[in-house]
Amino acid sequence: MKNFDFWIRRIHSLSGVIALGAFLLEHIFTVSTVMGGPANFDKSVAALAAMPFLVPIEIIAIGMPIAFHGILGVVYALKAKNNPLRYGYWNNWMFYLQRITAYIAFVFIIWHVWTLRIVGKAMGGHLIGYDFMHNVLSDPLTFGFYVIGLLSSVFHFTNGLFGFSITWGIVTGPRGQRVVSIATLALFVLISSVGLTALTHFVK
Amino acid sequence: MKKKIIVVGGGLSGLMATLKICEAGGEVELFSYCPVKRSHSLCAQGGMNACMDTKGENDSVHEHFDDTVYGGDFLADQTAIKGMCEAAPKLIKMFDRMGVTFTRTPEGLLDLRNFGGQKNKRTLFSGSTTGQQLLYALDEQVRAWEVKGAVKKYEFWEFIKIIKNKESVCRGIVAQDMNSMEVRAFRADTVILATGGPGMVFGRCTASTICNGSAVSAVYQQGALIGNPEFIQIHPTAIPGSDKNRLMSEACRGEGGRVWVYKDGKPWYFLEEMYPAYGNLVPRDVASRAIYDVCVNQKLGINGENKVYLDLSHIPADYLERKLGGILEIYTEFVGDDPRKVPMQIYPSVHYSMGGIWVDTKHNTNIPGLMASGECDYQYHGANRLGANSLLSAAYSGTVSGPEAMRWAKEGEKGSELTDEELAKAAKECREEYEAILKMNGTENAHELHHELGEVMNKYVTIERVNKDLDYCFDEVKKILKRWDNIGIVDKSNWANQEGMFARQLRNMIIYALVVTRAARMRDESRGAHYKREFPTRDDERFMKITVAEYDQATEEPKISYADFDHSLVKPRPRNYAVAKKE
Amino acid sequence: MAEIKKKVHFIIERQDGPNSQPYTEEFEVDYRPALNVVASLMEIQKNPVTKDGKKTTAVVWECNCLEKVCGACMMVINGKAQQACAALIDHLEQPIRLSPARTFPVIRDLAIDRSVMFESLKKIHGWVDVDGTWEVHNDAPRQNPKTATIAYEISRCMTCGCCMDACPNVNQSSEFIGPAPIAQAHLFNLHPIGEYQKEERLDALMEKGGLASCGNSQNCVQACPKDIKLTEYIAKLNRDTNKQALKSLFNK
Repeated sequence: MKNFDFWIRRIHSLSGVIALGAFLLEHIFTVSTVMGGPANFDKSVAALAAMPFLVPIEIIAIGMPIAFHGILGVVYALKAKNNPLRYGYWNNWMFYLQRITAYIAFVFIIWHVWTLRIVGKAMGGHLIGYDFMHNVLSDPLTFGFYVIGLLSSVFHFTNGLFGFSITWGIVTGPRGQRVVSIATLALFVLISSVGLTALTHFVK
Repeated sequence: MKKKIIVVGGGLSGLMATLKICEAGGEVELFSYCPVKRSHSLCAQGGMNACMDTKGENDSVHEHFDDTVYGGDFLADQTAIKGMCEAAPKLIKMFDRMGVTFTRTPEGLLDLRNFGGQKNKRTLFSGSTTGQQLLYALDEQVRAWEVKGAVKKYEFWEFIKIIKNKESVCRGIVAQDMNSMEVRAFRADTVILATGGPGMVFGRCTASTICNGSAVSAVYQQGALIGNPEFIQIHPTAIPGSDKNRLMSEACRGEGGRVWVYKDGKPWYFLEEMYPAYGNLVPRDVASRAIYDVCVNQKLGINGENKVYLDLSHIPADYLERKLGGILEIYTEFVGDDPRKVPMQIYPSVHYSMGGIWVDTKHNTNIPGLMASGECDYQYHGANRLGANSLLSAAYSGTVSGPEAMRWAKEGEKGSELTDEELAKAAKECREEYEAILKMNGTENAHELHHELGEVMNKYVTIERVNKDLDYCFDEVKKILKRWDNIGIVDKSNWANQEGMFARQLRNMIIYALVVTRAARMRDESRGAHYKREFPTRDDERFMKITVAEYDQATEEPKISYADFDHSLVKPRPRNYAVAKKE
Repeated sequence: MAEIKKKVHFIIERQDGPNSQPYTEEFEVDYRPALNVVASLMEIQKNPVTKDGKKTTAVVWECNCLEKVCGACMMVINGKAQQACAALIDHLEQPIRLSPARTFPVIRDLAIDRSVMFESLKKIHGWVDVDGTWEVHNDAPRQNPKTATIAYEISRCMTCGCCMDACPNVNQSSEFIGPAPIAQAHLFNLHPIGEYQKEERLDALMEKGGLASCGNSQNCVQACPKDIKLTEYIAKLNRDTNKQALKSLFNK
């Protein structure tokens, strides 16, 4: 196919924002319903679980894009010679953090899906709900890992939006790029505080 | 079979010749010390002259021609200059089509600026990096031919010498890979040298470190004649530096820059006072001498040092940015002051060699099959070059030498092709010479010796020349040549050995320094860039002749003779920039 | 009382050949005002003796113009790739550390092999297709002086490779073509005749290792000694390539 490599890279970018980004937002939204109380959370989880064709949707719309974006992304990231100590510019640190958070998110997501969705629900037959999550997160180590995983995922998404806006030629000039940079940072603060607050509600 | 031309040097002239050869169906092997895109042509800042007459001044090609002849103090071949001036506007259009980013007028046409030695706006420019832009345009076009397979580049290869066949026709060269140090001989139908000027002979100058004239000296030692070597242009406005003197473009004066020093506590605009007709825009030799006089004889230099002010601070900053941005950056970068706010401090520096390998109007040297093109030849500028004529002569000479090289390749009496044995022999000789250099174990350091050569040449063979000093200088240079034999080479490596190569270049530089010094000693008059207080006027009777230098194998010194040249178009008249030029 | 001469201290990473092990040597050079790194290396050439008095070979590096227009003398100075001729000692922290820009293969000491950059100019069709150098009895098209100013900015690129060394995505294990040639593609696309080959250039940028491998670290724009707005042109080309990719997806 003509422009094959180009398209793969572009789909990589698209999958990050459209599939993963959208799912991340939805996921944090669902989780944040815990702030309305355990029952509220259980209700939203149950509503999701009642969706028709849940497993195919999970595999096609979430699992596959994550695997595509994640595996390809790691291959790309491993080729970089990171140099923020030599070139300590803001954007270079962001570039570096984007890759570090990618590795963390990659491991975190695999572990997260493995322990909850596969070992917990599919194999263990547990019902994913407040009680189950309360148990899981009561372990301080696990909680810590969740905090890091959450922050990494959110950072990777919001900072990814900055790259996305340039990759798709949405902003070109330095001023436009700076505005986007600040906006994505604000978004990071917003989403991660929602997520972190939600997390603390599971261990109250 | 396709004709194969070797072009040595990938500056403006070499690349232009290359393009012409490719277009004529030839194949080029292009040799250069450096990636051709880094050739010294890119240092030309101010612009390129061509009569475009788009400023309502009734400029004409004849006026350009006459300015050039007059500026060169009537020592240049007039038919050659006429051809160049006529071709200039066409060359500009060619460069424009190739995408040179010329600075434009608000209506999108090519802008023109003033330059020294001309009363009309005739200088096309691309910001303040015109040479860079012109070189890149040709580099790009040559790259396109390289993709098509017509050009093979040998970058980081040093030219060592030409190879003649048994009929004494140049049929190839020996060159050395600067990384692997491999010495190899190459066959060719014609060889064009486009190796630039010999600035490094003077140590500190405005030239790049690669402009050592080594190739010119090498072919001179193989019998090529040198023309007018004593005419060395001193650029009046350079930033003095310990590693090099950085050029401050004549465009500064073209855009309104004024030269002054304090006299009796008040600014003295001495060029404007001495030369009311041209003011700050007198030609380079005149300006350099005035600055030299003010500093050395009148002791009025800034703080008693050899420096004067070049002042742009009265010109609006945005105008300066648009017209001179790049060069002002150079000053800020290398000196630390902002020329938009404070006057720059400058002093004359060796800049360009009008002289070089003797060629006919088609750029053939006296050695059949060997041509020379660009600053390394002696054509077009006579006793002094006008600013912005160098890019023109470089590009134009390539448009002449390229086609002529093809003509020679097809029709010339080339004699026999070099045999494998001849090639092997030539390569072996050069390899042995090089290996002998590597074995040198004396006490002299080649770079230190080069420094001394530059000091003595700068002191005695630049702005003002005195016969007894020139005699002294010649002896000093000969001593340096002798001391060369006592060089010690520390680096014995067989990989990217710069020290070994430099020692070889240095010997060629010293030999060339003798040529310049002797020729200067012999010319007892003042003409263009060559000035002797003992002989302050031009002596057309004795010296309206080209200096021709021939190498004498036995003494390693030049034999000087004088030759007539074509000055049939305009009659010589006194050159006086205090009044407007009269024809 | 004799004034103590101020010295400049250099730690230079040396390497005898492409496959040799790097090692460091230290040198001291007499200070003088406006001294720069190339001038210091020239002093070492005149007297190649290390700080400890050991005789050694002169350092090998590449330089031509010393005016920051030829691009030859790029090396890594105190961690950052830059032109050595324009690196004034007064602006550098001592000891001054020099090393070759290892993004490129090292030839010897500080000299590196940047031929990949010139090869890239072939890939991106870095020229205007003129019929020939002969006269065509026709003026080149006029140009909007504003566009011409942008073109001038980009055409000052001296292929020095600072942006390439600074870019984390340009290295010997990646195919990324790097910022400099990408910006050059934009330069020729801006030209009224050069634009005729815009499609070919964009196609070249969409090949493996092309524009899409840019990771937006934006080091290039910071590292560029000519202040070329590389990231802006990369973003513009992103827009152009996206358009063209979509077009060729649906129209062909």
